[in-house]
Amino acid sequence: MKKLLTIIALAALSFNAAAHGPSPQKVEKTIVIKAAPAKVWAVVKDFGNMHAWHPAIASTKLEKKGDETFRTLTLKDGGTIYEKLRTADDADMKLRYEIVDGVAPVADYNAFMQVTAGPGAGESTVTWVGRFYRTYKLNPPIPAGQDDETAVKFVTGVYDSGLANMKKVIENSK
Amino acid sequence: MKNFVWLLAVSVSLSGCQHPSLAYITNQGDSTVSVIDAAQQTVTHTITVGKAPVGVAVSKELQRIYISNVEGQSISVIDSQTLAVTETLSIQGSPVGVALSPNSQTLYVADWYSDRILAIDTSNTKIQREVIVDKAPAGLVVSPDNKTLYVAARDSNQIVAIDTQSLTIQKRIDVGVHPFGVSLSADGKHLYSVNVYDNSISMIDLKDVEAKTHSIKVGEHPYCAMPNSDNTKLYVSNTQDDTVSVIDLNTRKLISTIKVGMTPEGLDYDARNHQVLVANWGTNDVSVIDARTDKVISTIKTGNQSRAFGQFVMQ
Repeated sequence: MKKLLTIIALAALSFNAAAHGPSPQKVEKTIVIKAAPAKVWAVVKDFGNMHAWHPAIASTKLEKKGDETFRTLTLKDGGTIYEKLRTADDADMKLRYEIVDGVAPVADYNAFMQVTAGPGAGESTVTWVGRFYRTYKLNPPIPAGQDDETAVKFVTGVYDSGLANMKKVIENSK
Repeated sequence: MKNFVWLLAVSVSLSGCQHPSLAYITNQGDSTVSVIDAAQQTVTHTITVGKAPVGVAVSKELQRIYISNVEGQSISVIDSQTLAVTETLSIQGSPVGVALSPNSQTLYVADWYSDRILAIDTSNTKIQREVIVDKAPAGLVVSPDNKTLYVAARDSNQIVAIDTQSLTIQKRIDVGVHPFGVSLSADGKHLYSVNVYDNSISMIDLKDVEAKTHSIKVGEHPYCAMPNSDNTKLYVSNTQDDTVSVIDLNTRKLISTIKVGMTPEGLDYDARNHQVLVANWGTNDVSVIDARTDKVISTIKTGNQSRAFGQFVMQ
């Protein structure tokens, strides 16, 4: 957790319109939660309430701009990440979103979270998959902190700590 | 003797006909290429190439496959008979898109960050020319008459037409936002630009660019498009919908949306077997679509993060 916050603090890179990297990176994580899928999906789809289950997030501010929905995540170290909701599909229990701007050391990040029933009765599986690029947008050599490894490590940290705490929060709530 | 030579020629060409369609799929995460027998729908071989392979260009004539390794900053040349990497060309940049001239004499390489196209002589790879284009060149395709190379300049929102003889820019065609893949109809009369950021295809009549550019909406973040061989349908991979859009090229209407694997990227048409192969980066496999029914008939496990950007089927 501390490591994650350090990585967030170290990253002071903003997005720009230039070409992102040529090799997208992927992080895919799953967790089994002892709760009905409908209950888990209610937590996952609640776009304006991420701080309720993610331990790195202090607060979430939801914003509507016309038909579009955005959220500002304020991290516990004070940095922010601005995200856009793409879709929240009740039939597939799948939420898609993207990062618009912020302190995350990634570029062109988009992700989904999906809830499926099982593996056991009364259990749900949450799958969180992100696709993104490193922040460095020139030919090698690639500076430390702007490389694929940094981006993957950051997202892995966010997913691992978030899913573990989501499980705890949901299983402890009656 | 003469008869014998003639007989030999016939038997060679006959066995040529019996060669299966083979697909060469780049696997970014494993730094490998999966060889797929398209009729059998199985992986027959896996070849190690450079780091993070993306682009593919195949030459039946040379019996070679060219692979761009973007993080490895190189091109791997594979002999299609032995499946050995026979040459590795170092590229001082970030090679992504690759394409061959119809006569296989020139390999074009798009260098993503350096905004340039390399034209490499396939008979002597030391002989290289280059042309600076616009921002972030991605997809490449050469006209069937070998006169024009079309380049998708992603960050310039244009297709750049380059004269292959003089290697100079002839024309810039405005398309949608962030074109990535580009393809041509078999007769070379129509160009299809896949515009990632505005989820559209620009269909360009090359005889009359101003008057006849049509835009068609497809799925989320499309990457690649390929027409079938009689040019009645266009298949488009939508990376963030996990689908393939099918467009009727006569009516210019979306006629079908096919669910495939996660994050479909490269897509090619296998004319021999009337099927479309789509490389799914997210699920590490290839979906095979029967082009007569537009249904997925098979899913083939490949390697990690399959991309296959370019014309990857050798028929």
